[in-house]
Amino acid sequence: MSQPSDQYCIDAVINGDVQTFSVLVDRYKHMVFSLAMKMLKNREEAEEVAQDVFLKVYQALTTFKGESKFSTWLYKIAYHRCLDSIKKNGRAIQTTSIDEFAIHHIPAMDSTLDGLEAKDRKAIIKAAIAELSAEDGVVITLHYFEALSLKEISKVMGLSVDTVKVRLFRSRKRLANLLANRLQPETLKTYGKG
Amino acid sequence: MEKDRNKEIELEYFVEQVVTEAGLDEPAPNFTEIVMAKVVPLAQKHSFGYEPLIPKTVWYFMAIALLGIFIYIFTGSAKMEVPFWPSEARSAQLQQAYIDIFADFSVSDTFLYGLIGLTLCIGIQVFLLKHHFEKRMVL
Repeated sequence: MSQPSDQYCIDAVINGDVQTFSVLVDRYKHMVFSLAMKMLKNREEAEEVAQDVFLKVYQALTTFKGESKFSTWLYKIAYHRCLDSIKKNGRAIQTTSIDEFAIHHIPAMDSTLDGLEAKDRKAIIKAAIAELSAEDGVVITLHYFEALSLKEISKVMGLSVDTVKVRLFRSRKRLANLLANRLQPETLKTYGKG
Repeated sequence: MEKDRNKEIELEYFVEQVVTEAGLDEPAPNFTEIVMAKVVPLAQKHSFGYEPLIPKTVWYFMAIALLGIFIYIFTGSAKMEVPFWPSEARSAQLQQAYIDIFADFSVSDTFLYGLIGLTLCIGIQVFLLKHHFEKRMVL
């Protein structure tokens, strides 16, 4: 059986069928929670914020005009709610430097990762992603998991399309760099020389 | 130039692969139940339809009460010491009294400029705050 569309669920909820809201929660909870995790770096806080995001969305459902995708609207609310939480707790948005080392060692990193057990590989990748700054984590998550266009990401983050493009490029480099640091740089340097 | 472009494509492909392999973070298994447990009480209190501040029944009651009072007055059942409509002479007297009150009313220029400045500040802040909160919810 096909899943009801977002708009169908929204209309049902507005017309009083509250339980249909659980379909939207189930559909987007992973993405909203992942965004919160990438930004807040704390499971309990991310869980709390993600729940709060869905409550806010429920209360503001009538203000959703349908001019964009429901998901884009939802992620925008989630992004701003996370920013509020970061500010409330007096943290600064972290940035990581770009090291040109990694980009030249992609084949080596690829090969090293292939040589690892799937479980270890996943753990290393997850740890590297977790080290990304809040903004980089959001850009990467929205682009690769939701296949959001640059324009849609720019709407979520309130940035220009060009800024998002540059940020996405830098985020890729930073992630590659963080991975390289975790994959024993010495091994990567000697890759292909033996 | 071509080499750089190839490196970029290689990087893009590599990142896509690793990010997809890592997958999304998993919330608590009862996440949906927790959210719905908070949403349902909200739904009982909060309706999406238009809810007027003063309910219709109150308006009906007020209209009937007002109509009753007017009927009571105009049918002559009420005996009032002061006539309902003031005489022309009394109206002129009242108007003059109001004019006299404001004749002596004056404010300094400093106060006036201050008041205008404050009004402008509040006006601008209302606009800025409205914009700030709206941009989070509107696409």
